Amino acid sequence: MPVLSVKNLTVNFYTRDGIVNAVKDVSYDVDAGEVLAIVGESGSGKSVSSHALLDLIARPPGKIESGHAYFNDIDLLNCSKQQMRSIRGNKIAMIFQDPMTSLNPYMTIGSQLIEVLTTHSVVDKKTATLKAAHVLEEVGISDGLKRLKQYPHEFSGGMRQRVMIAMALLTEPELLIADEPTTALDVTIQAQIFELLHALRKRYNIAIIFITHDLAVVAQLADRVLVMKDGAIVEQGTTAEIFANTQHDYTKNLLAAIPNSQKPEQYRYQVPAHNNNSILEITKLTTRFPGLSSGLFQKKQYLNAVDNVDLSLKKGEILGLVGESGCGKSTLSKTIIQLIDSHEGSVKFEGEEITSLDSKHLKRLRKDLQIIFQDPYASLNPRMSVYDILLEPLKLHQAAPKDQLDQRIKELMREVGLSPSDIRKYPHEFSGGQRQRIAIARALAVAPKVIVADEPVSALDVTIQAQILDLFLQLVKRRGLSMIFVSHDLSVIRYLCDRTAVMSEGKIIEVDQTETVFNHPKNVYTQKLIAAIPTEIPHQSPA
Amino acid sequence: MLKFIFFRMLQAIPVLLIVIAVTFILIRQAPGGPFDSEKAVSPYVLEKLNERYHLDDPLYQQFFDYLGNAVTGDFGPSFKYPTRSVSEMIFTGLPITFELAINAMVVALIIGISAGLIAALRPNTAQDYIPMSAAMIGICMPSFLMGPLLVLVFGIWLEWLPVSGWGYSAGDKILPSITLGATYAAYIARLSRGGMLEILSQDFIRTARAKGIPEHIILFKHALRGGLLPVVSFLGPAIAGLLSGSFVVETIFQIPGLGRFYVQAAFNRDYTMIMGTTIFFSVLIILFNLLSDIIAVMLNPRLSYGDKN
Repeated sequence: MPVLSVKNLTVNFYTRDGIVNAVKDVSYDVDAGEVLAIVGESGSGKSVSSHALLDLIARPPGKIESGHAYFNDIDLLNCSKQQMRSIRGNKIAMIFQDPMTSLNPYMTIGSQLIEVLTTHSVVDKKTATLKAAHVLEEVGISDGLKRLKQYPHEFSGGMRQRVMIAMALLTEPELLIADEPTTALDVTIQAQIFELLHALRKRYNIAIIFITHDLAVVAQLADRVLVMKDGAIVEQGTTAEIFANTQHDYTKNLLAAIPNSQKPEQYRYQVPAHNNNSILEITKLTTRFPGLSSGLFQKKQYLNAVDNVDLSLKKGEILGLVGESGCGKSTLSKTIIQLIDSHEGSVKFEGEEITSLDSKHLKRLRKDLQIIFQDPYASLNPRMSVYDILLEPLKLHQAAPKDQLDQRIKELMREVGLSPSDIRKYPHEFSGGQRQRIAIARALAVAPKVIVADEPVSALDVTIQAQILDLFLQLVKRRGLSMIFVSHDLSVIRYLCDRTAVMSEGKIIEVDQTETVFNHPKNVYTQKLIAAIPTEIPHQSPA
Repeated sequence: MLKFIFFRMLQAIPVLLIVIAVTFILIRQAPGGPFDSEKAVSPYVLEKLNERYHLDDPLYQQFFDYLGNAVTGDFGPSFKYPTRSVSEMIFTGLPITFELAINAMVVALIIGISAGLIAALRPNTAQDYIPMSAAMIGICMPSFLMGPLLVLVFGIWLEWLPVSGWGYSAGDKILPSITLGATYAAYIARLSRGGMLEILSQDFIRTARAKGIPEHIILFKHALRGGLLPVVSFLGPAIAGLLSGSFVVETIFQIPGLGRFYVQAAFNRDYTMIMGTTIFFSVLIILFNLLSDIIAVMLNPRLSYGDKN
């Protein structure tokens, strides 16, 4: 007897550009105590299909065209508002992707937890408070009673997700819908949350629908898997079946796109026969941010975001910079290319000190050192066409003769895999992966010697990520670039980088050949980090 | 918190000094003086008057004399009404202007927030367009047009309310308060609509729905506090604006408030009166801005007077 039985669910969105079929005729069951993973890339309908169950999609523009979802004989898609409210948060609970924004910043954790109990049952405040504190401790937040009085901003990201889980468990629901609950978290925190979910599921025999884009997560957590693409289910089966005997091409592509090996031999860094010069030499670099000021006349406190870092980048290599959020890897990469001022230490580019350059010399330096940012949605000016975006650096640095500008722009687009016929289009007309290609073309326009890529693929789907990573490999080889690649994703680093530097609390704690770092990590923190990578997937022979 | 207030007070000192200096120089650059009038005054009398009020001293000396007195709270005698001191005149007019401003603020808050909430609940429907169009008209219509229109309709045609005065007959405070508050109601309506729309689209509102919280509790408990933050930040400048901007309404409705003294002082080149009222209004503006910042911090737990985060 399944807890939830979804039949022929179809959801459309009526947008200005026409009807979007977000979910097409989706049917599935979830049994008690089972973890069902719904896997798919962005736009696959995986979130919409489960949000629709609890009436959480915006209507309009969304519309549930047809379908039933039986939960204890109640059809969730055709029940009264009253019934829906009594199920939401009570029998079916939900946790969301971003614990930073999913909790109300204006209310204490306590009042947010307690209101779940007071809404769904007749309970006095004291009992509710004790119960809330108890559940907080159960999800691993000690000193529950005291922490109930705190606001969400006083908790870290992982702690907030624990609070969300506590909130979901308060009423001992039969079904938990978890929508990408660990995507916004660091890998070590993710591992802890998985452990927690495992334990809770055992204790409460709760069924879990786990929505994710990450197949590695699925292998670790799910009993059954449902693969969605373009609003429809393309494949479903037990986890073992899906990994051992993949049927659908799309699932095969998804599996193949996960970086779980080293890059092909021809792209690896070749130690040059002659003297191997560093193109960038960083010594004792320190960047500070003002920290808490404690008193009127006390000395100002500083936080060392980058703390006494020594690092070198060899010509033609890809150096990985890996670490968890807040470790200073972004600050370091921006300090290196002089977007943030350093306080101590030196950065030498081709032997020349660049930390104290004036604006004129800095402009020349910008031509040689380029950066690519994480979010291709935010880092391109929405009011400039691709042509303008690429024209600007070319003109600014006089990188091409005037009569060849158009020609060069088209060449650049072709080089990064964009069609030159899209030259007049604006960023919003491109997909995420294409936008990141535009950002790459922009960086390449001035023929730089070094590219710093700050989490360039973490906003992208795994199949797109694989394409962009291969583009990086080709470009580095073809143009003889040197690259610093910043990422929190260890498997991406392992695939792409020749050497890897591990960062923690502003310091570089380990630098070595990538395979050495992964196979024989010396530092305890590195060991912990690598142990937290979701277990490797039984790999497919290449299709 | 005390530290925050202390630093804000420190910041206010240079601001006030600049205000005093600029006003001092500007009013003396304006043509005419306090003793010019249609009736010619003999040069001898004028000289004596100037001497009496130290207007023949060098400008910088006058400035520092004035500053010295002002620090001790002495704004000097009015040039036009020599028997009364500036402080005295300010405190005669202030209670009336203050009451008018508070009434107007209450009107503005009640109308503005309800209109904003109604509009935010169903964006881009008639329920949104009608109050927002009204708000647009409210912003566009100056009080010297709104006032007479209200007087015409409610005072003369319908004969429901008195057309002028303040506290002389029942209900004579209603029309001036509405006239003064209307523009601010319109701004507040737009601010609260925007604030609420933004909050209602946040993830944590979806979380609240997923918890099974009824819609009206989501609106009032989860959304209102954050949604009205823009309104709160606007309140400080708004009250200061109401106080100093009340002179038009005071003139239309014949109200003996501070605003009217201020305007008259400007026409009369009553140097000390202009200076006194300007300083007084500046202090009010600074105080109310401080106050609204403190309230905003109290409503938003993530802010903590700039000494955390």
